[in-house]
Amino acid sequence: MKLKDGLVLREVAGQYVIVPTGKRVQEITGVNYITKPAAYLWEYMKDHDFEKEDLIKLTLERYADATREQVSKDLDVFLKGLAEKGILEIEGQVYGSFSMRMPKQQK
Amino acid sequence: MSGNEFEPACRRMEWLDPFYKAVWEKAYADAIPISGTFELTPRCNFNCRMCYVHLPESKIREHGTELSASEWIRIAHEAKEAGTTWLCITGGEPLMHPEFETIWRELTQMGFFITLQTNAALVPKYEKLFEECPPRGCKITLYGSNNDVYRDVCRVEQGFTRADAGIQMLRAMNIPVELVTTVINQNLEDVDNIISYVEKHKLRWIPNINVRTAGRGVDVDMEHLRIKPPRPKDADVSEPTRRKVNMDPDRKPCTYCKDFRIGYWVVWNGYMRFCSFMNGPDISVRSTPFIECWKELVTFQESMEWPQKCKKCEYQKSCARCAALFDIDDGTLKIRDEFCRKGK
Repeated sequence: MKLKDGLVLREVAGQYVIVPTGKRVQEITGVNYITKPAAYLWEYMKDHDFEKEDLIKLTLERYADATREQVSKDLDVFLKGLAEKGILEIEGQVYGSFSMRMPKQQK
Repeated sequence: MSGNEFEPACRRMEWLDPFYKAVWEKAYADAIPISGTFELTPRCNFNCRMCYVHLPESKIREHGTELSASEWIRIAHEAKEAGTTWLCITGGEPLMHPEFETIWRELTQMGFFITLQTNAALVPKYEKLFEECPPRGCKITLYGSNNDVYRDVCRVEQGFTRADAGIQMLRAMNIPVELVTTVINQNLEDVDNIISYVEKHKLRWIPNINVRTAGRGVDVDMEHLRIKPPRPKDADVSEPTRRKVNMDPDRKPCTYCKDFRIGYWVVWNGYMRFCSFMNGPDISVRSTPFIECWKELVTFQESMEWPQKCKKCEYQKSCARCAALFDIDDGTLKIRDEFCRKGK
């Protein structure tokens, strides 16, 4: 996985918010903010291709009292959120929306 | 009592997202300039009767010189460093700044949430630029629903046709558009048509009736432009139509502004101010680092008092006023007769 380019993480008054730049403005809408531990990981993520395991390792190194199980769960939520908002570049991921019409139930 | 002992406006905004609330609280407590407006130029391709910024090119020199692209970019970098995250780009007509494209390209890469305020008429000229560097949102002034009304309000030909073309181009590019209309006597009868336009295109619309002269070199003929808000049929004719207010005599003028301690303007000739309606203070961003200007502005806001005449006035609690209704003269607020309730 990697982060998309054109994203700037800003610290604003103690909070961390992802600001899209250039064309990304139209792709990543809304205000996407992350926690301080996530902002720490972002610094690594913005410069590297990474796997979840890399982020677990980094977090456990930084937070001595964290458990691997909890970190893993938290990262699942974090990465899922980033993916849903289109912030992650994931191979094979298809963007867009679709609709499907279900056939009428047979009488 | 110092200014920051009054609560920030966000505490009265129950609907606000927790993120914004947390940012606002901290920014207010620490006086962080999170929100800024860059007024790029007094130039405009329209000549709206109620505009208090627009100057013809021949008059610009009398009031200063515009900041160059490199100056705006330097200020933007320093503003970002100081904490500015939300940035509004306005004018005059900002697209009329001689180096607009350079400024826009740079600012949209830096990491701000940018809103562009424009009359939209020049949008087609910058189609390619906005495709490459789209604004996060556009706030567009719409002053009528046809060219006749635009001729009367904005004193230009084909005004509606041009504005509409810009609006439709932005919509086609999926750029969020919000419309703003100042209603004056000259477009009052067209309001229903404007509403039809807004509904037809499913746009957000913010009407207002605020017309003010601002002491910035442009005289606005308030008397012939301002409309009076409709009065309920059973209202007492001796009472003012404005809602009743309860001003706290201990509160300083700037504490009534939601931008107090968190926002600023940089006006076209290079001064940092807390409100575009004001003719001061003249804190030069051209010659002083941004952060120093900001500190000076906060100190200025906190030290500013109502004029003595207001402090002694019988209407001091009921007169709805803010600092923008005054002139700044030698660092203090000076009453403008046209805004003084007692004077009327």
